[in-house]
Amino acid sequence: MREEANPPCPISPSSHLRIIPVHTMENLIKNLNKAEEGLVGLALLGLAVLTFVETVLRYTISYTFTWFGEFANYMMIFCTYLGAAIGVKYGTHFSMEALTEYAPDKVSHLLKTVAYFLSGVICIIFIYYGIVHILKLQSFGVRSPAMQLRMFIPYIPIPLFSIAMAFRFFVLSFKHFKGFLRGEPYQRVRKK
Amino acid sequence: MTLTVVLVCFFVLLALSMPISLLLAATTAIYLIFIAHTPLTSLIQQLFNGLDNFVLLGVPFFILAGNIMAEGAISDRLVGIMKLFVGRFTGGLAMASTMACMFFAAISGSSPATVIAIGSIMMPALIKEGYGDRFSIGLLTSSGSLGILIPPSIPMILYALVMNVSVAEIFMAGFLPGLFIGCCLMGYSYYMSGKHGWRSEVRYSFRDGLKIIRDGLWALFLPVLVLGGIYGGIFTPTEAAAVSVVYALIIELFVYKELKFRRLFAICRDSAILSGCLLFILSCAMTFIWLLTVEQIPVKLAEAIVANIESKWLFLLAINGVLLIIGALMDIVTAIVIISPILVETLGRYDIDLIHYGIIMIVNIECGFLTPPFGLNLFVSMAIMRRSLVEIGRAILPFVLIFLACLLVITYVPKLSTLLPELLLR
Repeated sequence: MREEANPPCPISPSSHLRIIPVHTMENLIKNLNKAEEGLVGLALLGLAVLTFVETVLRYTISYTFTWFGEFANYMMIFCTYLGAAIGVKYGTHFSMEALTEYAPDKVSHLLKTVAYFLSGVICIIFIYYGIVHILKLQSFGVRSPAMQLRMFIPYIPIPLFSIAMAFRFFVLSFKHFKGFLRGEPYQRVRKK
Repeated sequence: MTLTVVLVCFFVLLALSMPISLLLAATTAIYLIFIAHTPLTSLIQQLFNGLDNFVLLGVPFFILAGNIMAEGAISDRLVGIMKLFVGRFTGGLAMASTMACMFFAAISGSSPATVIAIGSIMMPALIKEGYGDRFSIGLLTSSGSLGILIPPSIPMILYALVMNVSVAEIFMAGFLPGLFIGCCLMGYSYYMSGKHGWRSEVRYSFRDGLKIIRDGLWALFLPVLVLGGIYGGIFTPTEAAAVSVVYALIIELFVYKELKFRRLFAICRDSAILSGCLLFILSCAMTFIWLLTVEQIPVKLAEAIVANIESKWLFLLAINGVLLIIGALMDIVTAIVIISPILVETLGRYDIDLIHYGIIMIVNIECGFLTPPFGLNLFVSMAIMRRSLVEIGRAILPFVLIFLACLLVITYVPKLSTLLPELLLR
């Protein structure tokens, strides 16, 4: 029996979100996922090309964009949090699987339920305190040194993408909890 | 008391298999709430500050460049050239594989990318030429891990950031150890091939040879551009990463024309997700490092270690043991961003060069990449070579021993790592 190294974790929110018609909700989430993935790929490629252009201009005609360093850093923070949020879906986040790989299926499911639940809770902390921090920065009117950008703006990706992250972690936690209750086999990376 | 709470939280959450990034943030959050009684907004500030650094931008760029080259024709052309040079000797194809890995390592900064790029091409070729399954798997899996030792290297960028050393210096320091391990692997290939009579009659006509070289020139020029650019003072390591992305794109899309635009989108997306997860660990680890510094844990640890271990050499041996275990259990980014800052004070007391220690750490983690049950390269090999973990684990064993022997040499001959930076950069 062969199992894939990084099993994708499809999210089907339809089972527990019944207030909005299922199809609309599913389509919305599908489109959001697509937009998210397109955005993160394009942002990274665009940033690489922009850095290249900046390097060439600096080397050839000694021209530098004063805003570039700051802009690139803020874009990287944006890409990191967006990428990390999508990474939950694909199981890209590293964790130490020593126990879950070798424990009985039920125990592994239970451990994962708790681990993902706690991860979701931490993301909620990011969301809440992220918003608190952003409101504080906004009221102080702090601006970034080079671009004169309102300083709360680059902080927005932290709480914003933590919402997606928290949502996905809770869905995963719920999935493993169901697996635990039903005694489903636990999908391992290690081949038996 | 504080230390106990932090350690208990850390290990309990680690055992639960919580994602490392959030585990680090959770430990810091628990500390802030229950011990320091500080508002958690400082956590958000640390998350942001941890990433607000231009050097870090090199990480996603090198990942992207590596993935483009692994998928496209550059790796294929490199293998062609290496075969042309050493293919005719005893064990030629095996040595060509190691050389191609070393060369690919010099244009990409990641070890799994190197295994995928060279391994997927060379594995069928080696087996077809009768090199034996076990030897071929072991060789390709282990040679691939040179990807992070020969510059550029993604883990080295992270190390430079958390330890406050120059990226250019540590890149330079990886050269000789990388060549040394590469030569040892090639020596072993030569020995094994001589013993088993593995020899392939690869002969090229002058015309074919010229064509292979002409085809491969674009790929060969990349390390010259990237490393020459960094050390010639033309651009910073981050800019070099961006240059290699654009160069690889142009070559793959317009010169070799084997990469399709549609695949490019998937490559960009996957690279962005992977680098997002890596940098997210770093972002959270920065909060944890800040906690360690506030609590003066590195200083306390240094005092305890110095009081118990007298000799510097014994300490280095102990560190190697610990790092090997950590390397086998954790991923490399976590190991680097958590362990290094904890030890920084101790290294100072024993007067160990931070650059030298960085190289020791990277080689250790390379060994970790190759050790079951959690070595990352083993999983990559499982996927591309379609073998079980047990088979790959067995195949890799002699190569792990070679790595360990090299590790000892690199640990006890600091000059191997520090010579080039001292001569050329200091």
